[in-house]
Amino acid sequence: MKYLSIIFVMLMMMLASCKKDPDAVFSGKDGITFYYKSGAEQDSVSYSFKFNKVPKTRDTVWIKMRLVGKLSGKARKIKVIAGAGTTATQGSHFILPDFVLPADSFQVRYPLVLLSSDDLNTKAVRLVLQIAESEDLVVGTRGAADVSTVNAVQFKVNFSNRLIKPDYWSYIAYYIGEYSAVRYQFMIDVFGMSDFRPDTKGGIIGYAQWVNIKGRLRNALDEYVSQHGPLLDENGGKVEFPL
Amino acid sequence: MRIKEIIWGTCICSLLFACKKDNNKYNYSNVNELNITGPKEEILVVQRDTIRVNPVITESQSGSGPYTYKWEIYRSKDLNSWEITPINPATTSTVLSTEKNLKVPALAAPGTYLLQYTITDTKTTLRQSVRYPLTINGKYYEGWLVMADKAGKTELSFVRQDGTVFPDVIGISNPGLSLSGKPLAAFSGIQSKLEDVNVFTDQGMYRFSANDFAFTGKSPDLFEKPINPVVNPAYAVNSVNFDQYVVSNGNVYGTLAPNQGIAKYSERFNGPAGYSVFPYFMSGNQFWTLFYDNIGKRFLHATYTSRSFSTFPANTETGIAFDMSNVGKTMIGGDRGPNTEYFLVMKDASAYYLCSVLPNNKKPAGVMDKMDAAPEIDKAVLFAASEVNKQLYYAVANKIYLYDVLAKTARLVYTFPANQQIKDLKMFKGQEWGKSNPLYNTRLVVATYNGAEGELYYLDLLPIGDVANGTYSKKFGGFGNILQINYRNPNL
Repeated sequence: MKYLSIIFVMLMMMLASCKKDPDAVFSGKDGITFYYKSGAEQDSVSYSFKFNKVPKTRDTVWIKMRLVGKLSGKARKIKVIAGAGTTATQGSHFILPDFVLPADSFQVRYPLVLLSSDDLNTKAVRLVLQIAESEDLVVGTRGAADVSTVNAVQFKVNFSNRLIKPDYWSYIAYYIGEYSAVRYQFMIDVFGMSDFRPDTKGGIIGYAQWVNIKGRLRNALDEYVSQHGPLLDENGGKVEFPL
Repeated sequence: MRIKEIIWGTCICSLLFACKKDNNKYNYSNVNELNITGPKEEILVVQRDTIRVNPVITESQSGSGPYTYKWEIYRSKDLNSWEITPINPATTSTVLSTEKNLKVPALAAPGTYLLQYTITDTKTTLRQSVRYPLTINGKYYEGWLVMADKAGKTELSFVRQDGTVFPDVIGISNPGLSLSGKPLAAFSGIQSKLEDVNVFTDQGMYRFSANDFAFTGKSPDLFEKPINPVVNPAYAVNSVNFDQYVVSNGNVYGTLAPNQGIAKYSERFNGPAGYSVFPYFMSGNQFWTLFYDNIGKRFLHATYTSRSFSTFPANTETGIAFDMSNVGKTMIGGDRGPNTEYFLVMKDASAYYLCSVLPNNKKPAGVMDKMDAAPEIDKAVLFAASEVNKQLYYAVANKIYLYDVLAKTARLVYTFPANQQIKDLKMFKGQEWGKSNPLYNTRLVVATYNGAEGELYYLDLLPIGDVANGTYSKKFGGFGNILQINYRNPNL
C-alpha cells in the first residue's frame, strides 16, 4: 500500500507539472553594440595621420554599430565612452561626439573623431571605445550574432602621427616581409597608397595581385639600392622583399 | 513484497500481450534489373552538332516498366564524390532529354562532361544509371594556328585537326576589330579554366577565346605597364597550372592562371641587372620556370607564383658539362626532347653547340656538344625536337636537317623547291599535360612561303626520323606570308 501511494503521488506530480508553454516574447530595454564581420574584420583598427596624402589635423573613423532589440520610430541616444586600457586623452587626441541611432534604423556608423597632436609624432596611443548605457539604449549583448558577424561592446583604435603597423600586416607578411616603418613607407612611396588590406581581411587586394606586388617592390628596391645603397629600417636591418 | 510482484507481473503481461501473430501477407518478387548498353568510347561532338545515343536496354523481368528516362550532363567538379549514386548526385547538372534515345543539339559550353543516363521503373521507382564521358568541342577545338602577313595585315588562320581550314578566324569572329601593328606570332594557352589564344603584333598582345576566337582583351589593359613595342614574343603556361608568362624584347611578364586568381600581367620580372631572355620557356619539377639570359650568358630560374628571377650558384663540381650560372654562349633556338630534356642550340665566337638542360633534375646541366657535323647550322634559327627520340630538326632556307643528338651528326631529310622558304617548323606534340594523341612526335609540321602563297605541310616521320615516303602527307595552301605556327591543344 505504501508503494502504491508513492506511485500515485508521483503520477499526480508529473501530471500537475504539465503546463502550456507561454508564448515566448522578449521584453527588456533595447541595446546597442559595435559589430564586425567574422574573419574578415576584427574588433580593432589602426590609423595613422601619415596615411593622408593631404595633411590633416583631425580625421573621422567610422565604426559600425547595430541595434540589439526592436526598431523604434524615434531616434535614440547612443553613449560611447573611453574604456579601461585607453592611453589617448579625450579632447587632445580624440572626441567622442554625441550621436543617435536614427529612427527606424537597425545600424549606424559612429563617427569617432581623431585629433593629430604633436605628441603623436613620437608615440602611438590607444583608445578603447566602450558602449555605456544611455537613456535610450543599454549595452547590447556581445558575441557571435550570426554565422558571419560578431557583436562587441568594446572597439580598439590605435593611432599616431607616425606610420603605425596596420592591423592586417600579419596576413600579408608572407608576401612582403615582417613589418618595419621603413618597409611600410617604401611600399607607400612605390604604390602611392597606404591601404594594403588583403581581400581576406575586408580589403580588395587578392592573391593574384600580391604575387605581382612583391615583384614590383623588388624592382623598386633594386632601383633604390642602385641609387642610394641598401635600404635600412629603423632597427638597422636591411629591407628586402621575398622572391 | 506483494506490490513488487504485482508491478513486475503487470510489466511482463504487457510485454506478452504486445506479441502478435504475424499474418505474413507479403509476396516476394525478383527485382527487375536493367542492362544498358551504350557507347564504348568517349562521345565527341562539335558544339551545336547533335549528340546521338541509342542505348540498348534489356530487362531481366520482361514486361516491367513503364520507364521514365533522363539524360543529364555535368562536369567532374560538380560531383560530391567520384562515386555518383542516387543519394550522391551531381550538385549541378543540365538535363538534356527525357526521351529513351538521346538526340539533342550540343549547346553546352565546350569542355569535358559526364553524360548520365538514368532509367526509372515507375512501378518500383527503382532507378539505374550509367555514365559516359562526353566532350563538346568548340568549332576550333584543336589544330594549327597559322599566323601570316596578308597584304600588310595580320591574318590568323586555323587548320583544324580534321583538316578543315578556317581562314582569318579573328576577322570572322570579330567584325570591326582591327589589330594594329605588324603581325608576329600566336600562342594557345590551354589549362584548367584557361582556354586562350594570345596574338602578338609589334604593337601589343590581343587575347581571344580559343573556342571561338571572340576577343577578350588586349595590352596595355592586360598588363601593369605597357609592353610595346613587342619584339620576339613568346607565351607559355607552366606545367603546375599556376602561371602564364609573356616574353617580349627579352623581358618576362607573369600572371596567374585563371584557376589561381585574376590579375594583370606583372611588371617586368625582377632579376639580375640588364638580363634579356631568349624567348623560350622551359619547365620541370625542380626548376619550374627556366629561361636563358642572352646578356648574362646564363640560365635564370624562378619558382611558380614568383615574379623574380634567381641565378644559379657557381658550379664547383667536376664532371658537369657546363656551369648553369656561367654558360658563356648565346642561345639561338631549342625545343623539348624526351624526358623533359630541352635541346638548345647555342653559339659562341668559335662554334655552335647542342646544349641540353633537364629542369626535372636538381643538377639540370645536361650536355654541351660541339655541332661540328651539322651542315649550315650557322644559318639555322628554326628547331623542332622529337620527344621520343633524341633528334633535333632544323631548317635552313628550303631544307630540313635532322641532327642526331647521340651521334652528333646531322643529315638532310627534306628539301622544298628552291623558291619555297621555310618560315616555321614545329613537331606535332602535346603539352606535358592533357590528352595524348598517337600522332604526337611522328609528324613534323612546316610552314613555307614562296613569295605569293603561304603553305602548311605535314611531314610524317619514320622511327629513324626520316620523312615517310620522302614526301608530305598533307598540304594546306592559301595563306599569306606565314610568320609563325603553333598548335592549339585540345581543352582539358
